[in-house]
Amino acid sequence: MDRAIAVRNLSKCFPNSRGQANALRAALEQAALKPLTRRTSGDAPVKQLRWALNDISFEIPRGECVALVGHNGAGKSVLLRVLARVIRPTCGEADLQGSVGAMLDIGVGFNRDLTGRENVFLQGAILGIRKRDLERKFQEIADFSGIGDLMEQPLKSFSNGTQVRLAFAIAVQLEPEILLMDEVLAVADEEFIGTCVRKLTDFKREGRTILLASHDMTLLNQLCSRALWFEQGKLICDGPMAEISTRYHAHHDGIAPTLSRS
Amino acid sequence: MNDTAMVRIRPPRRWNGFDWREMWDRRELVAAVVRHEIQMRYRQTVLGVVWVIGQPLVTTLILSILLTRLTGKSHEGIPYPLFVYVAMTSWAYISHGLTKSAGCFVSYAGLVNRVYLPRLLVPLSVILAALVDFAVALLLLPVVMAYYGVTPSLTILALPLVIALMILTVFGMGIWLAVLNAKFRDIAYALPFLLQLGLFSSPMFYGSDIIPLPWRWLYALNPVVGIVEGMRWSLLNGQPAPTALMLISTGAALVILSGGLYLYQRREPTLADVI
Repeated sequence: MDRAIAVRNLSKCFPNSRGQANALRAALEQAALKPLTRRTSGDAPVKQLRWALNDISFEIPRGECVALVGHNGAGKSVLLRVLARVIRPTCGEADLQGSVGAMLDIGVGFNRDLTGRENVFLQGAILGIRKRDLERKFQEIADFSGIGDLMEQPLKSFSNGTQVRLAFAIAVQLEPEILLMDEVLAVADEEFIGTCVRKLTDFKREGRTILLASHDMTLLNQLCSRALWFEQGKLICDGPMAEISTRYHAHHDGIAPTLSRS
Repeated sequence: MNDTAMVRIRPPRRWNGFDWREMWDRRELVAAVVRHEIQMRYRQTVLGVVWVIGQPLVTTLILSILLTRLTGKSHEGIPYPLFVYVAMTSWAYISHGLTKSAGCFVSYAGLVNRVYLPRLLVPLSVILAALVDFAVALLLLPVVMAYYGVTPSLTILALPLVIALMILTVFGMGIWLAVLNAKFRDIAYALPFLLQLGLFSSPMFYGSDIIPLPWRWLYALNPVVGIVEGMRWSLLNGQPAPTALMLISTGAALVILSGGLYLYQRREPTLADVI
């Protein structure tokens, strides 16, 4: 009833063209060869389809913090991109109840030549935060990211970790009801991860829903009560975080996972 | 429980429509991208803002000097350099705007790939940012006109209409180029050549009156014709109003824009798949 996310039979297949540079040529060739191929062989060329997401279904109640685990290329990021409405699914559907904020990458739209301050306003506009809200919260962003007087320096003088701090500080100003995060804290130091965990715990307490993809099991165990485990585009396990993390580690030691849904 | 509306994510359909309200809500994004485009023009340059003013200024000087030396004749009482200069200001905007919009989804790939936003605002922002050069060239125009002793008449009040047609044209064509270039990067390579063809098939160095009257309506299907003739009529004294040409060009621009918007709503859902 009070659910934030409902995903039903969601699948995503990327068009498998022979590289974008050849796209027009391929289209022209196909058009030119069409009459020929029709005469010689009735077989259409078999396209290799790669299902980045394969028939995914799950529901997440409001206020839950859910981990997405799985190896690189398992489909975690694709799922987050679909839910963030950056890409569309090939079939299936998903319902999102409430405002959505996504952190799919470190500082999307950050420009290295602009100063920290200029980037705050550019990034804010990209994420859809009103300018007057940004002006009001500018000091809060500077404090939270711990950047302080670096704000007038160009972004390229910032370390990667500092850029993540700034990006995270801006993104949390959105105060979304559903927060989607993809592996963005990987380069942050322990101190800042601690700050983020506190912030995300506050978010949870406020009834916000969080979907967090990461390989950092310690972080996930701290924040999440439930985990979704993806392999090769399929949701193979959906269960309590503690159980999945044990099995995920066991899997690394060579024990194959079994399908279970609790 | 929540007062926010539910969002349903679905596979793309044939008609995906437009969320005009959402675009209006996100208008601050346009302002931010325009500011960013202009900032990046002179960031990390020694001369800074001089580049923004300098380029149109030098172009004007060269055009005026060269054209006077080469021809020295006048066109229907208007000094030939002025006749060409007025046309060139709008052409400079059209070619710059089209080049920027063709590459906009690719150069803002980070945005298209990682954030949800009304993506139509991206080409809109870059063509608005390109107006800066046009504005500078327009501000220099009184100087050039004074030099040739030409005073504007009341027709100058129609200038905003002509500029509106110009922006409409660039936006319409720009959507086509931006969407097609996202999938077929060949567009960006073909564009300089297409622009060269456009330059010579538009009345830059000659007046539309060299086209035989029965064919002139066909010629005006190129919206640049209506824009250039409109600019000349509104800025330079004593030209007959090119009403028919401008109406035909406006119609053509609207058809191009509608086609572009249709293509956009069809392709927008898969933009992040191909960029």
